[in-house]
Amino acid sequence: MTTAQTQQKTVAAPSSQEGRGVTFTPAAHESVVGARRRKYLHLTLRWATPVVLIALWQLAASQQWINTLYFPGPDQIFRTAISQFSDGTMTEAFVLTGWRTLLGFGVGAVIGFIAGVAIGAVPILRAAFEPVLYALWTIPKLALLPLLLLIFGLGSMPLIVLIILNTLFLVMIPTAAGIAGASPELLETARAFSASPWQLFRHVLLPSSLVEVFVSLKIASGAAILVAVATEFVIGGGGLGYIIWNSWQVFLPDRMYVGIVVVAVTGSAFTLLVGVIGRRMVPWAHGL
Amino acid sequence: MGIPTTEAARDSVASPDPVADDRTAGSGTDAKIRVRGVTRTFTSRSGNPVHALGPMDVELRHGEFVSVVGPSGCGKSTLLRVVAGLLPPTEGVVDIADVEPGTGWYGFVPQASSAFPWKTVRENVSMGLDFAGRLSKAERRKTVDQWLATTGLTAFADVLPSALSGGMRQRMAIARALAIDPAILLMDEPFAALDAQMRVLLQDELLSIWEQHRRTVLFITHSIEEALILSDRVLLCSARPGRITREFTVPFPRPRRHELRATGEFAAMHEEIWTSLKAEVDAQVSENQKLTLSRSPRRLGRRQK
Repeated sequence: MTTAQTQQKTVAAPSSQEGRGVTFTPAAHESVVGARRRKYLHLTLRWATPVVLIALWQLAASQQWINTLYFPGPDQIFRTAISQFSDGTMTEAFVLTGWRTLLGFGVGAVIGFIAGVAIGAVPILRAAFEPVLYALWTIPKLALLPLLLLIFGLGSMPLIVLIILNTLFLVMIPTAAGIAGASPELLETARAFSASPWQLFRHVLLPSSLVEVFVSLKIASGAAILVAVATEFVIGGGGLGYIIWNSWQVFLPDRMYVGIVVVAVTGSAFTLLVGVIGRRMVPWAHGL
Repeated sequence: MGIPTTEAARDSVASPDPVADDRTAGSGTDAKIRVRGVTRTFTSRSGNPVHALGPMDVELRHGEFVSVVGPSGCGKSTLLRVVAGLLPPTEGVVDIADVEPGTGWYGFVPQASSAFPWKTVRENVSMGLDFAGRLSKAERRKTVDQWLATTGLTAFADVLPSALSGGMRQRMAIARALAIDPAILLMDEPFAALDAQMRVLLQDELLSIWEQHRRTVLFITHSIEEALILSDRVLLCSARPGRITREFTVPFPRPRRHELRATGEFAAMHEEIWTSLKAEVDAQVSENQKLTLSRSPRRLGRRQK
């Protein structure tokens, strides 16, 4: 039997007198206090999870649960990092890999964006080039490295070209899809308000593609660092990839870990940055 | 090198008859929009031609509010797009009197989802003025502010449309169309996506705006009630291919308000139009049933395999 008190709280009253039926009461997590508490919990977890994982790692290393020869603890890696950065080795490698990646990514993104817009917006270009470009896309870019070494020799050039190629395709295909997928209703409305072809592009096609463009840039930014490091393994001569590879050859696992951590931190910072810029530029989209 | 003038292109929009271009009323015919023998055929995905519209003859006088009512799929939206020049007619001619081609002579209010999600409400309303670029920035802003006020959107000027309700978004679309001060309003079921209460409110708003500045309006709807309360004339569109089968002159005096619905005359006229429309809807339904029946045996066969 329901009392008058619970009746007030419920949204749907029990449908029968035997206590069968469904009762809904205000949800705790939807209250203002609940929402705020949840927000702080998520914020705390964001930082707490990595801190706990590192602490566990440290504990395992200090207690010798893991072989610190292969798996040095965070303290040891941190000490090596300080010495590597202060003697300039790691700084130099970071700068070298950094500008190679940024240059390749920037040029590749610009070319990929322009090509994507052209293919997405101009049906005749799409017909002419899409099959060829998709065929080229399926070639694993790293497989081209020997060819690029042959053409450009050792040094930064083959690496940068490889990153350009990799970024270009990753950006071009979503951009083309975004442009071609612009809403017909919006295009028609813009035409009804006598938009010129340039205005159609600027006010409908371009903004329609931006979500896809930024998602692709985010993916391509991570991929650019991957290609840079992988190529530096092979070319040698400098950069974070070379440091990691060389540390294995001369058996300096501490330094190898420093290299890996620097690559990981740089990569995630780069991807985050692209995401932040994207959110700023595409405020109407959710989930970027 | 001398390029021939594009007289031919102009003629397709402006009236080819120089007399009709005279701005003073009463010269010859006072038709603002004249649709003569217009048909429209689409090519379906499978390559078959689909005869969607016509032949259709429609005339709208200066400052007249005309609604086209018909079953869904009868081609009434197609008619609107042909009049707007967004779709070329397959056959026939559309003449619009006293307008300069390509200059925003009509305000277009589409069904729904025509809000630009990346533009603020103000930018959405300002869109037509911005595209034309004739007015100075200050003048544009003034005009837009005025229409935002008229449509009750001033408080929402700087938010994105995603923050608006459906009714507000349609008000925004109406403000956007009116901001360019068009000679003609072309409205394609602008209130179809709204709930019943919001429809009545917006119809009243549209009426009072229209009664202040009388423009020629071509209004597409599937609601007889809406057509009756708003229009001077109601045209009944047949099932596909759409043709105008009947025409009703709406006798109710203006200004009209929603209370008109409660009167007996309104109900009688509604009934009269509905009787005619029902025949068309029935025709449409039996057509669809024929399609479904002709398809189902094959489906059945496939499922049994």
